[in-house]
Amino acid sequence: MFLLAISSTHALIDAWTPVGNRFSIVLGLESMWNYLASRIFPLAAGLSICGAIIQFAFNRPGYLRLVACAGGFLTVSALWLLINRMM
Amino acid sequence: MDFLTGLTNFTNWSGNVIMPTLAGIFFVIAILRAARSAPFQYAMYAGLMSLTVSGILRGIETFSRVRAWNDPDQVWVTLLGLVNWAANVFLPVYGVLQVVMALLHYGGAGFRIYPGAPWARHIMIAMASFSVSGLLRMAEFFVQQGTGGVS
Repeated sequence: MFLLAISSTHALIDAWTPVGNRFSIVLGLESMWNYLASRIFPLAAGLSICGAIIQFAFNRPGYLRLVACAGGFLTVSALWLLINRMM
Repeated sequence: MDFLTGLTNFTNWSGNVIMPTLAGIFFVIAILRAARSAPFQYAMYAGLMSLTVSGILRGIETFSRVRAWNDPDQVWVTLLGLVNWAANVFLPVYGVLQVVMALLHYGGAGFRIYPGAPWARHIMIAMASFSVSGLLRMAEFFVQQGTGGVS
């Protein structure tokens, strides 16, 4: 899936650094963090629920971990802010 | 064609297509395991949960959206909502179910009451006798519905 979309992924990452100066890495990393936290992680939460149910169906341990991961994926920004606030 | 669209469609396909389909096989597994007196509850509940993947995810999203995304208390409030829901919503319903189960067990369901016992058969005959008018009306209803033929 990633390889099929590699050209659009390149265009996406290219759009994160429009200026191309010394701050481009910071801008790119910040945009990547936003993209992960707001787009990818909520989807990962849904997949975690699917995985947890399959784990539960076969009576395997670890399904609660996946449920907790789903909660973590949905609150990742708050987790980061919480850690920052604690420091 | 981009990665986010692919991942979104993959997630929707997994949760809304594959998991409800797997629910059927989970129920089959539960029935087969129950037939062999093996633990079947995991497969049965997994079948039920497979039909509610979107609901489970929406539930967790609801717990995690009480506060703003940039509020550090969001983690705590999410846990608090989950605990409140478990204690104030789930447990009362579960308690009612336990009362029903207690009454059924007290009445002997499963070991003193089972289909095929002579006195149970008599009870069923008695119920049918008391509702003979209803049975007759139901038969009439079926006949009236069947007058038009099979369409």
